[in-house]
Amino acid sequence: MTLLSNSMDNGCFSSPRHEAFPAGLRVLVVDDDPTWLRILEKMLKKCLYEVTTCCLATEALKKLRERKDAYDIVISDVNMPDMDGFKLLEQVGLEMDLPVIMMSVDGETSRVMKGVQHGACDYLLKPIRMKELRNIWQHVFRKRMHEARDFESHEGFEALHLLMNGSEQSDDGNIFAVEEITSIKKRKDADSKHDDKEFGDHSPTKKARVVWSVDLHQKFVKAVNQIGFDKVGPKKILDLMSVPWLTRENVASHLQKYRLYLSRLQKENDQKSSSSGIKHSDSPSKDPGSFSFLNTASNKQQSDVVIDSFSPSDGSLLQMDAPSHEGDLKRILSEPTTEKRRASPKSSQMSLNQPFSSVESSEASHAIFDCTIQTQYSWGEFPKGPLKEEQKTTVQLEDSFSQLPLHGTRHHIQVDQSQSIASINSNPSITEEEVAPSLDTKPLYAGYKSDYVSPVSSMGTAVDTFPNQSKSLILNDQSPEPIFTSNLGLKTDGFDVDCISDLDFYQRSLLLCGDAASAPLEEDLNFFLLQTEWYNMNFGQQNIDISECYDPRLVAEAPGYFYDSADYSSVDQSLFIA
Amino acid sequence: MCVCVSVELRCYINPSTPCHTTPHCTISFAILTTIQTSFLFFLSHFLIMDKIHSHRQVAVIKHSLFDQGYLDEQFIQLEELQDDANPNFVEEIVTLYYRDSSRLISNLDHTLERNPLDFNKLDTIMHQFKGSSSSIGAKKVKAECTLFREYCRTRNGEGCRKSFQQMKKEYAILRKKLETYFQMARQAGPKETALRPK
Repeated sequence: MTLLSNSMDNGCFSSPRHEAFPAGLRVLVVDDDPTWLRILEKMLKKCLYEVTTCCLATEALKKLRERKDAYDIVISDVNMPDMDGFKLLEQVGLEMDLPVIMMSVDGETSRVMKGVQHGACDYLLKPIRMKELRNIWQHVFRKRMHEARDFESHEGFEALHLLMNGSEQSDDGNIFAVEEITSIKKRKDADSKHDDKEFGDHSPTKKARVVWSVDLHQKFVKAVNQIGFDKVGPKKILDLMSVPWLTRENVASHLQKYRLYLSRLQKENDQKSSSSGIKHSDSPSKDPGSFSFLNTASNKQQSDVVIDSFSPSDGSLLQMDAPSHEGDLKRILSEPTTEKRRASPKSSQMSLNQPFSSVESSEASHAIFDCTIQTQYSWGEFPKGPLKEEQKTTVQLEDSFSQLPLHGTRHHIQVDQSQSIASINSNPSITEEEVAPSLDTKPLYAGYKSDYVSPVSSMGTAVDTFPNQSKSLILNDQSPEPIFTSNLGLKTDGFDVDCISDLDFYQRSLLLCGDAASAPLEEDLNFFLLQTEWYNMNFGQQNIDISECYDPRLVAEAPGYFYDSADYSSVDQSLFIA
Repeated sequence: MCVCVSVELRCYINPSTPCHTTPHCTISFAILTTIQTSFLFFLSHFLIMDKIHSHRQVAVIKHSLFDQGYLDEQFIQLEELQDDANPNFVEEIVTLYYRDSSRLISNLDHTLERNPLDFNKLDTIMHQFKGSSSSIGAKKVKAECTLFREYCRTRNGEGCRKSFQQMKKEYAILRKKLETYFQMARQAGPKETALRPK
């Protein structure tokens, strides 16, 4: 019971909401229309909810990140000036895993469907009635029930039972139990995440909620690739991943997110596909390796897009224009991310590693990748490698951070490209495994390179801790050098804001994980590299011209994998934070 | 005066009490009383009627706003949200709406002056305007917004301009009516909210 009492006392924001649920529900409303903001605030207050209003999506994200447990549910408008509502929805879902309700004056079926696809738990049409708002608590409750169920399957089983049994008499009791469990879980999550950062050690998580670590996601991606994107299904992925504590639901939801991610990348890539430099984008699914990765990761449509981005002319790393690279990479990353979230993490992790390995060959890319990879690792794919499967997500954070330092070194190595490349090339095995001729990834890397520069530099500090490791990682077996075009200046409109905040986050994490110096496996490196790239990609606003690193070998290897990782990392970024 | 009258009346009723009023005084007092009470009666009646009349006026205006389709259910929702904590909630919201919509209208004006027309931008702004108008239940304005967006979708510049003019007209009419409405409501007093069109 101390757990419970602790959770209750934890943080001043924890109101005794369980006593009067649904009263006291903490709602965050995001809408650029001041009139509606005021009306909704008044309506929600009338429902006895605790309301916080924001008129900017970026501000809302900041608030959410400040205190992860400060809100129970988010209500957001679809059309906002600074950020697309769907993007915010995705971010919140990935990072904070809160239920999000979308609202709009536009009630077209396609829009509603898009909202649901992106993970909205409800879609309200304006003008909104009081009665519609009165029932939003059901989404919070439902989520807690799911979490409690997950909780059961992991450690803390006893505690859960204790709670549930104790409160079986009344519905309220059940609600309390669920809430308590959730709060315990959340608190533990928060604590363990923090701790993980410090120690960089994977400890068996006691969280109920699955955190998709780098390893887990790699496994997921790998499984997805193995199955073949067309035939992928949560059950198959779960079986392939063979992670004992993972449930089918975890995999399913991760798969969905991964698909969304990939589709988003695809879309962005489409928008940027104007650049002719991106060869990979032109060749749809020519790359079995990358394609498979993409396919498994995302829906058909998405995979098509991803493939496009991935399909670099076989074996030829092309100089990708930053924007096109960005788009592709993003797509790829997003796809794997969503996939990862749904499918078993193992597969995803694996697949991600592959591309990374191939990409890491190029030195220049290393530098760039370092930044992104670092970030990405933190997202959830720890370069620590698939070995750490058993570790729960909290550990992930640590991993990512440890990875980050590793990459950070590489970043430092921007100057010393060879060094970085070496580290990146450490995954010969991985590259060979699944590195299908996914040349596409290479071009992406090129584009992302520049982007990475800035984030990398910021992370450079922590990097110093892993110089040796990076070197060890540099196996150079097949090290297809990632093609890093100088135009990392991929500008992602939507990413800028996110990236910056993510970057900050990663930077902080990086510093925290300073001592998480575990010998990064090659796979990790690759993954890391990919993530870095992905990360860079996401930081499109940073137009950094990085010396291009063209590695024909890389082209030949599995650029697709690279993309996967990259995409994965970007998506993982948000996932990781969760 | 009433006291005197009542005293007089008592004296009148109870002749045993040592009253020194003369019969004719009593009579005058009685008359005085009657006049007084009737005066009071008519006075209060007048005031009440006036109040009822004002409230009725407000109700009439409100009814017309709804019947003629200027406002819809949302406005009633807003009124229902009004309470002791926010006694002027509806006016507050409408004021916010004026501010936001004026900005959007001038934005639309500028964008419509450009050549060639940026239909995507027009659509975006109008989408915002529609959302804003839905917040107070501006029905006619909203309908005009939908029409405008349709013209944007079909890239009909002339249609957009015409629709925009029409929308501005509806907006101006609604604004005027609402201002009158609130003015009357303020004059009529707090009882106004009880009189709601069903």
